[in-house]
Amino acid sequence: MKMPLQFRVNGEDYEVYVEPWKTLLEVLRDELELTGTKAGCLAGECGTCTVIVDGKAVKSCLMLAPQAAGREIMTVEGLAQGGKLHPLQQAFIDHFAFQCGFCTPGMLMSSKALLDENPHPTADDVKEGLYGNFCRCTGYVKILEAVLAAGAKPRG
Amino acid sequence: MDELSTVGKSVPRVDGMEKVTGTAKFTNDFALPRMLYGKVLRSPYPHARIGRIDVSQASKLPGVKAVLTGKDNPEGRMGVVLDRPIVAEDEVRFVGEAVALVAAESLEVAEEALDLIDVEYEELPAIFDAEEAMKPHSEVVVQLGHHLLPSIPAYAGHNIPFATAEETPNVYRAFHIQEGDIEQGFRESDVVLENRFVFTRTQHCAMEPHCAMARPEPDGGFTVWASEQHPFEAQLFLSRIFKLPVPKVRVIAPFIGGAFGGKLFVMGMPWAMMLARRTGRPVKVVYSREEVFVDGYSDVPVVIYIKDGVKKDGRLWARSVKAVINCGAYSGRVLLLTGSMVMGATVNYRIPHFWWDSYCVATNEPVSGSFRGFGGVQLIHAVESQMDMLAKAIGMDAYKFRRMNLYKEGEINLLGQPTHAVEAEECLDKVAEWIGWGKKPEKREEGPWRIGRGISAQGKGGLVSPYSLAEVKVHFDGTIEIRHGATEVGQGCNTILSQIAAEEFQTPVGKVRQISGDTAVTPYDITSTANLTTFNTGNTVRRACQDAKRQIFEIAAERLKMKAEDLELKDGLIYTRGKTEAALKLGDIFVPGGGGTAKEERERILKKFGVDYMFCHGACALEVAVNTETGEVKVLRIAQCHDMGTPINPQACEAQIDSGNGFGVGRALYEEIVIENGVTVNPNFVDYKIPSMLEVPLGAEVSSMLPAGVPHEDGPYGGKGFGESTNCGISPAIAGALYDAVGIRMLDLPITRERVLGALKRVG
Repeated sequence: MKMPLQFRVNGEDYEVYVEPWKTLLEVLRDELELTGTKAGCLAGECGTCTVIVDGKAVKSCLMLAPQAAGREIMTVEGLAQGGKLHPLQQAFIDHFAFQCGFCTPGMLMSSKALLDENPHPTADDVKEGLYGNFCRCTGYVKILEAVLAAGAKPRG
Repeated sequence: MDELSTVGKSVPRVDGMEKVTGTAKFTNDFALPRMLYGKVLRSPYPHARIGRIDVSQASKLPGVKAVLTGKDNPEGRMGVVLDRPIVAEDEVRFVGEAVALVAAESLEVAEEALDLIDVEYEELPAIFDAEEAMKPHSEVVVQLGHHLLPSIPAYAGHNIPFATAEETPNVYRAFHIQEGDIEQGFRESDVVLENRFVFTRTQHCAMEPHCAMARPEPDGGFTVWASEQHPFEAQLFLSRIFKLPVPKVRVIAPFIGGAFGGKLFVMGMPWAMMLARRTGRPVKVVYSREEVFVDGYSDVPVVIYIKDGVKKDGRLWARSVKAVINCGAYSGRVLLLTGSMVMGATVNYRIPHFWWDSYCVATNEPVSGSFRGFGGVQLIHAVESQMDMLAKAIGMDAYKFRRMNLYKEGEINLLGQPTHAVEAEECLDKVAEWIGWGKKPEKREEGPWRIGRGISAQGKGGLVSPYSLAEVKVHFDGTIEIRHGATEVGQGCNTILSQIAAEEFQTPVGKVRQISGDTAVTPYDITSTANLTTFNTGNTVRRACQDAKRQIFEIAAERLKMKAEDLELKDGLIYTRGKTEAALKLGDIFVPGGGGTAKEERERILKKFGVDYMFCHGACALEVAVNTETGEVKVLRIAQCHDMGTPINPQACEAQIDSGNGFGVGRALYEEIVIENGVTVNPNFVDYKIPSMLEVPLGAEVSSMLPAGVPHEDGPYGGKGFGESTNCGISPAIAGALYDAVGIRMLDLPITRERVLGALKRVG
């Protein structure tokens, strides 16, 4: 019942054999052992499983693995480049924008997709971009601060 | 205190790098070779006798390795009084109770096998309403012999426990305290006001669902990884359940994805262990989000009757409270709450005549648990709403009325404990000033929206405990390793404890390494709950560091032919006091592996503390807009101020205050588990709404303030815990603001749009 699946994750090419009913989330976590992406509800409601697929933020629990064939995927593990944190990651640390850290990978990926499309968002843009990601610890105050700070910096 | 180098500074969290790069490991991120997946078949009935269970079809499914029922249970049970069987035996007592367990090679197979288990049930009458269930001679008895269970030692104040009676078989526990003469108090009052407040069930909704993974060990014991706030309590319970020597159960709590009181009490672990015991293989049990809602030990539904008397000059004169607590079908942790809930009515305000009764009642609803505030949300909402109404009744300002009744430094509160280092007045002043209390808002209305303001105060106590232990190990290269049993649930304890060790050793926070939350290698800790960790574990880490330094200086003094008291440490180097050139490197002076323990310190703590509690107070002021056409309530601006003695890490403290906003707004306006005939009908984030970024005030509309910081004389560097309380004062302030805006007083939570519209219609 397994089918081959080729895709690119964090800049690396993968070919794996998966049951067609598996979700992208399951393949990332169980097959590729990229456990940074979290499973919070498996129903597309909480946002902890958010990854970037071809530049768009996607809830990976709602995407079947075969739909990811040939696509370019980025998970939280791919954010830092060459040992250097992405400005969003640094901003999350600088602004205390996480507590338990469980929503953080999804929150970072939604934020990255937002900044890629809109490098200097307003507070309302950020709220609109992140309201699909729940956080139960921070009250969102410092997450907004961090994303705005990362958005205010010149990016290269 | 002014020469502190690390304590009091907003150093970045020590878990930052792991948490932003996705490398922080939570329980479900671990997998073991040959691991099986466990799933739980749950009861569809609130109360039923279990007949025949046919597992033959399920057992035959390829990939299924074990199907277990109550017959396979270990000897012990779960719950405070050990009343909940691991898997239901003769009866099920709530919808969602475990009836059978499956272990299989994959999650899909395990889930498929659940469908193949055939259970015969004979339905029994069920009871859901706690007030109904506590009536004498209730026709429905949830569990025979509840009232015969051993009583829990009370842990607050002048406790006069009275036995629960034969004729009220569903009353699990009753708790009473009193002061003065309540009847006389009401007679002497100028105004008496009585109300009933109803609180529904809510979920913690930690983003990480519960997870447990158990591995059988060759010695007959188990290693268990779990999202568990209190690994040592889990170890003890599990060893009792499985009749094993305590050290044979090793509990490891990795990073925990939020807890808020919801990750206590061995959840999931006994199931994983039963399946691992049967199969000889590691087994992982992950709760679905629905299971978290149904059997995640949600917060208790409570009905609070409160009657207050006040003098015309503003003095609170008498207060009596009766709380009826819906415990659910088994004891959970709520038995303890029956007593500790009293704090919300006893630590803030001076009241000469006081009477308290609380009842913990068994029903056929899911088991209730502990929740951030531990009864504080409900009680503080009721008390603070009363404070508003009392102020109005005697024509006083709500802020001034509160302020004049607050306990002052040194006063003995109703728990018999001294008020010390609480900055309740300053907290109240700061939030009042920020919101512009007493001045008119810029706008009172806009279209269908009406604007109003509310204010509240809150206080909670935390147990001062000698049972938080720590070890400090000084490594050859000057790395300071601290081992402690507290758990990092997101609250930031690892950062605070690193700062304390760094301060003692005058070294950067980066030179401190931590090992925590593993019963095999860390010393005992009383739990990371109830605002305890900063105060208790913080103190112990500090004293263990001091003990280690003492030993180092003794050895160095001998080498250098100097007196130990003339030496000091900085950055891994030992200096003679006053000299700028180091005399020795840390590594020079000790045999690797030597270190200090906290044993002596523990004895000293035991001797030292005359008090059992430290108290943290706070206040909240906010502004809401109410849509008079739709009933929608929006919190426009919010200020909170909470006292934590000396803040060890100010920005982390602010973050803890922010944290309460989301919780508080959700609880006040949206959150409610709806249970119909025992069935949880909204076990997901679509039908159970928690706030997103769109529903909480952010940016300049939020002020999370710290008061001046009066040091607590017994806290580490004067610090103490407070994070648990920051969600408790929001709902009463919202209720007050609603009254201010449109003249309706909402007693019950949540204050949904429907309820607001209904109330608006009633007032016309």
